[in-house]
Amino acid sequence: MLAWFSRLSARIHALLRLKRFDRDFNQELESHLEMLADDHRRGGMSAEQALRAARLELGGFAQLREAHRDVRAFPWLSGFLQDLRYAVRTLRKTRTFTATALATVAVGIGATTAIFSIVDTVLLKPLPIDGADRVVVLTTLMREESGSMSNHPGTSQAKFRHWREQSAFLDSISVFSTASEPVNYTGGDEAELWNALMLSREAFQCLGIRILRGRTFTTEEDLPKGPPAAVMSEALWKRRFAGDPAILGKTVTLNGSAHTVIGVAADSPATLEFGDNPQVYLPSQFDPNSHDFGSAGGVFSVARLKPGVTLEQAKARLQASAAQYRANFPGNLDSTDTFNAIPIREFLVGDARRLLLILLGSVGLVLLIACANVANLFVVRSRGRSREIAVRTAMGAGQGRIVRQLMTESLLLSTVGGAAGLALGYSAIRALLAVNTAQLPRVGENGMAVFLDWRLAAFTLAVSICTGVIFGLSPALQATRADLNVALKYSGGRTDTGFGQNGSRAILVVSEVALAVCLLVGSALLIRSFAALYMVDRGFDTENVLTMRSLLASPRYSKAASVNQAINDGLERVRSLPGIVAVAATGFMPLEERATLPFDVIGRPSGDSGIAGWASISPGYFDVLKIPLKQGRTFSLRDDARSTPVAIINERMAREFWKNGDPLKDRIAIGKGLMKAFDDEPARQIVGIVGDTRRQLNSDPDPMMYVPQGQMPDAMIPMFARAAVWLVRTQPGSQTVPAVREQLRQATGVPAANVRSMDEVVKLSMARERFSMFVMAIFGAVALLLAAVGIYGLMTYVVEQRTHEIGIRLALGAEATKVRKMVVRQGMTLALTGIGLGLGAALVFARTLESLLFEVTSRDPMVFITVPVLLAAVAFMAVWMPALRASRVDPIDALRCE
Amino acid sequence: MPETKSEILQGTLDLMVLKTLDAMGPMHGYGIARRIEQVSEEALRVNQGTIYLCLIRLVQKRWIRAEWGASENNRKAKYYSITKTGRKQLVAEAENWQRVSSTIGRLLGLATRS
Repeated sequence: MLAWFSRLSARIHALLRLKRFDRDFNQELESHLEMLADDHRRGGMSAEQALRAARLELGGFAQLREAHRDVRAFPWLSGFLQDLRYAVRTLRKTRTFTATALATVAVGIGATTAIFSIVDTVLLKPLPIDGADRVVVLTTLMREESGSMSNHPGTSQAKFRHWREQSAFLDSISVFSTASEPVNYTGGDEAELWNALMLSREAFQCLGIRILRGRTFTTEEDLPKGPPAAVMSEALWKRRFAGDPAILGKTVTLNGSAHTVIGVAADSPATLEFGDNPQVYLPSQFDPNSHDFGSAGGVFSVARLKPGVTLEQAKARLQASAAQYRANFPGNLDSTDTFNAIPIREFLVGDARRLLLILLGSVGLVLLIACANVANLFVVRSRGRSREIAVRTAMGAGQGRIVRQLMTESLLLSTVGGAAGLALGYSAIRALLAVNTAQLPRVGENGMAVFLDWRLAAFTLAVSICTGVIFGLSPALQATRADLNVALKYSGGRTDTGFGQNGSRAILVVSEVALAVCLLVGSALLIRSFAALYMVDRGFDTENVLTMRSLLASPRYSKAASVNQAINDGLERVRSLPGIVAVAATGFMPLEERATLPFDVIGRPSGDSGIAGWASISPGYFDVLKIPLKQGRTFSLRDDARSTPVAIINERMAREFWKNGDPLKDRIAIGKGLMKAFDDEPARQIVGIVGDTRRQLNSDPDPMMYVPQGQMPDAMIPMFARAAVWLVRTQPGSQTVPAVREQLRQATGVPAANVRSMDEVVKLSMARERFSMFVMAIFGAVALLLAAVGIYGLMTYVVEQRTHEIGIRLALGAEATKVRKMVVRQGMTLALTGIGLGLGAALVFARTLESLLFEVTSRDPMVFITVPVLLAAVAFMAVWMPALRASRVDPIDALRCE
Repeated sequence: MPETKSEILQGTLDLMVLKTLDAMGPMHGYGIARRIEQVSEEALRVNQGTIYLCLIRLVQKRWIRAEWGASENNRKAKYYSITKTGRKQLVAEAENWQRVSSTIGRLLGLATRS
């Protein structure tokens, strides 16, 4: 063992000091020779004879040195270094070739690295939660209209109450809200908005949020109306309170009420996984005796599987428990629906998984095209080198040795290209994510969580090596297969017509074109979808509309009347500012937030209730968003708590639920029996019908009910009216934001924050579609370019090879046009074959994209006609130039250049 | 006579070099080659180049060490000497060799008798 180790270290040592050891050995051999010669001289030989005899006796000097080197170090490694030096030299000599190949490899690997960096961050990196595999999110498995089942993770108080009883197989059953809610912090020198995460007391343990100081909530603090307590995040504690250890037990004023600070939680990466970085943790205070069926957005139930319980077992037992739930809470869970559990990773990643896998597959195609192109380049070059290789073979180089030599060149190229690709892809993805994170989970703010680490570097290295092998192996094998005699006799040039020995290159080009068709079809489908999405009539006008939000959450705003007064005051103040066209308030940010509530039409049999979207709005809402009134009237300030309760519905709702009859003659009761807050909700007279709006651009408009802000019952104020959204339509080009904010602050006493234009909100709602379209469009363009380069390269080469033959044809009187046609036909045959094969493959590939498409089928005729025509046109141009050159061959030159 | 000169096994050469250095003290490569030929009464023919491959291997195993010095004729030469581990190895290898050769001897003896 020791001897083995010392030999190894000696060999490495020798390898690093090749020159010194060689010199040393030379000296030793020289002294040996001299001594031997001395002996011979003493035996009576002349000086010259003695030296000659000594040389013969000792054997080949060079061979001996090689053998010595092999024993001294690792023969394969020094061979490799030799190959490497040779490869660098050859690649340096052919600069154009090297640059083209390097650029192609860098683009291919760069694109792959870029997509992988996102896939790695979102799908592969482990969650920073201990035993994340055993943490599950509890869901309701619902039957969709299409008949498929889907998991809905929203939690109501009633469901949580039921799930909490499943402690036979679940531990730390808890709730948490992913959407951090802003809270007003007052009492310091300056008011601040903090991000709050609402969770139940066991959630800290379940989600792996570590407590640095103090404790988590007590059972009492986690009950409704329990003593107000808060756990502070480490970052906030250090920033705002200078890490003062005496913070525990102090009180902070949040939303106007005093909370005792009971603990400090470590800023672990775990907390970053859930939306915004929370600054303060507040108890969710679910009522253990509640019958509320309503689920507020962004509140979820999590639990850990008990030791020994598998996910499958937990799922089965949750399903079985649904019957018990139906008995305890009648009328809330349809007989087709049941309960389920999904791993927290699946919950966090959601539908991003599909998109990312599609992008990864697509980038794989780009890489394959790049490989095909570089392989082509290599084949061309190895043709040029066939003489050199033949000479080496004739001198006794084994086939393996030559393949190794050529492979060293491709691997050197692919790793250098890969390093460039890593830099290229990494900076590209950072730039892309900084503009648009595509609402992807886990990528962090501006994609900060996607960074260069050993995983990414290892991936790039692996891809580079695979790439090098893929594009290097076939040219290398082909080069060694060449017939020695032919290669040595020919100096290249004369070949028969047709592709002959270029068969493998033709195959490469055909497959390249076919892959390009796939990618182009994919990107064209996504571009068409995006255009359709962009053109879709949203039902409202977002131009020149500003949005901002005020948090009306202090005790001053516990009653509806005071909320309404502040809102109306704010609207009045803003309306009187110059440059304002219209202004309104609502409880929900259009496109981003909504409530969905059940309703009953008064007078219809019970059990006939429907479900529709719901929003509280101020007068002027439809004016700001330019939603047209179709029938009846809109709300006015007279629709207040003292007047008849009214509602407005949209056309879709009218169409769907009043197939016959006039909605304007009916009254509806909203949210009955759903939760306590709706107990005071009156039956409302429908007074108007407005145009449809789309909440999600890629789905049909939902049925929608609007109720006047002025008629919100007190009980609903804490749930829906706290975060008022202001919508302000301004005259184009007017700078009104500071004035508007100031007026709203004066009216409400709290800052109006989060100023955005409605256009930004729209843009964000299409962020993922924009991202996938953009990425696929780039892939498509790269594929098109590479395919064109591939065809052009092949045809140029073919024409060059055939210059002699073409010259003879021309000399014998062939017309230039005929020669041109011949070359074009040859090139286009390849291109069209590739396009034909590609269309077949594209039909399959496009189906995987189906879930990303909007208003376009995966067999969209327009795409399937445009793409082949486009590719054929590009191919024609790529073929035309070499064809033109062929027809202009000067017969005399062609024949002379022998 | 060339026919009677035997090829030598690699391990055997190692053993002979070690024994030579152990018995004779520090020597240069040429000297070692000469010595082996003399001791075997020219029955064994050492390829003079091969001796250096053997020497470098032994140096790498740290059984011998090398130093530059001056030869009898005042030429610069590399001198090899056996190390402590080399001596231990020599004892072990020599015992092993005895055992193997006596076994082979017995085997051959048996073969002729039967």
